[in-house]
Amino acid sequence: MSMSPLAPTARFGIEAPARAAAAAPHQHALAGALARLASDRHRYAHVRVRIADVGTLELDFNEQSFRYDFDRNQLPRCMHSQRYVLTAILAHHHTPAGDTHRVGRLCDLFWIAGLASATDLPVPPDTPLKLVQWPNFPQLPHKIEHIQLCGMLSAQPMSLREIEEHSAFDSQRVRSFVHAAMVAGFLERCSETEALFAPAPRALPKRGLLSRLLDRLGLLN
Amino acid sequence: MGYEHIILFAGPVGAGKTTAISTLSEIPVVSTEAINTDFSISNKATTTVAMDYGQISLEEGHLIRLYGVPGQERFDFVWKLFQERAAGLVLLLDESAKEPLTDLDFFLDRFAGVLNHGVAVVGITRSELSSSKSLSACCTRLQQRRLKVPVFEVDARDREQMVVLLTALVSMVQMRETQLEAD
Amino acid sequence: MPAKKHSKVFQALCQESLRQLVTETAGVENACLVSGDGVEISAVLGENVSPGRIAAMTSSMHALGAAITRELKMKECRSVIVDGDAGSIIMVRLPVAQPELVLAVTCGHRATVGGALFAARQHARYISEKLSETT
Repeated sequence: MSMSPLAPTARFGIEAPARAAAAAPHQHALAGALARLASDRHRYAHVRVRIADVGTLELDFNEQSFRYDFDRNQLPRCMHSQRYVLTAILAHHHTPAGDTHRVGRLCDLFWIAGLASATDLPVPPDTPLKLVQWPNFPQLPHKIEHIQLCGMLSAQPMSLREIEEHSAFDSQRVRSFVHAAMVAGFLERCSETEALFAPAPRALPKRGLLSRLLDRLGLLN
Repeated sequence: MGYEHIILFAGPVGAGKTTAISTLSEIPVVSTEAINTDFSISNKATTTVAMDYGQISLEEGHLIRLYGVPGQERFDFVWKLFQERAAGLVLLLDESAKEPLTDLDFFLDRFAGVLNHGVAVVGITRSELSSSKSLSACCTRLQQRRLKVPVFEVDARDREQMVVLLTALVSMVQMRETQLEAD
Repeated sequence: MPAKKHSKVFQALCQESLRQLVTETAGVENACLVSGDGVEISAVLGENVSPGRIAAMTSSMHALGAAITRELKMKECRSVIVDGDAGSIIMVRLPVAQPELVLAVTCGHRATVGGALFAARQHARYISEKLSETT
């Protein structure tokens, strides 16, 4: 079966050590490669990722799903792998993965990749961002602040600057969340019209109901 | 003087409402279970016939009251009792049910009273048996209905997962209350 | 429609007992036998009274009575009485019935609550005995 490889910029691992050495260390990891794939998702229909000592991921951009043949608990860990091969599969060469494979949503995979990859925010700080969908937090790696930030954004679109101003969290934590959420497609740029009609952003209360609950549950940082 | 915040747990029979409240409540749950005789709806041995009650006490007298209502439509008078006072709704759906989307539409319609002034989350239980089909379908349906409601997959017996769901709901309750104070 | 299948003999006996309760007890207007989970077993009701809703509400009221009795460690809940402006609703648990059955009776001003409660308990006991005999 012949396969069409991805463009060289997206193909790392054993076959491109020279290029790998030029970038920052975490750029070589699978997380970064998947994050870049997510930003370019319209180019591909099917992508196969073989991860050394772990297994295989099959990404289906048409179905917005992915299949994998290893334990789900290994997903966050394998994001740091630097030994993998990504290959784009042409539609007419694609053989669906077996029924024994586990299935997940592509957005979930990209969220995990986004959390593990370097924060890269091409969006200007004043561009309003809207929460399109909440991450499936009970089943995904996350931090408490991610839930709080989604709570803020559930009320109105906010720009990166506004999120930093109105939340209690430092810039690094906010940017990490925004990066992961945009890679996954949970957060999107908002049109100016939408932003115009949205209510003004409200700050997270310092000692509100949520912080009291988190305190009670022993979850406050 | 503290504040009460009422969270309502609703959904079809067998979705895990009673279990969810038991998992979250810091007091033994006050329950109203009866032996199930209506097997056309569910094979469960028992079913809630009035309400479940649990609570979480916070500092300075703040209280989160957790109320679970029966799933059968014949108890819809109980559904109406709490809607005006509830700040948030947890709608639990059973992934293994025949038509989870029909259940979603039905309960969103019947609990519109909470959605009008409060917030909601959807929790899909028993999803370990399948491949997240209902999750995607529910997200799509909520978008079609223009409802900003998070959808989570949860095991109602799992405290960590239920705490995450409750945290998300409360974060939205807080934002909604903040907005209302400002208006 | 009842979900659990009680025998036709039992249902006929219930129907007759409820009819007697309504016709022979002064002021009693409606009587309904329901399962613990709110399904109607047998009923003698006036017009404009929905058996389905009465059945569900009766089971809820009884369950709440049981819950508060348990909470206060007062053993079992035998009956719940709702005292309204235009009359009373009396809900009596059938002794020894498993799954649970509850007899609900409504009475207007002509009845005394005590008299209606006594009659309801008598009929509840009778129906309980017949249930044991017919199953």
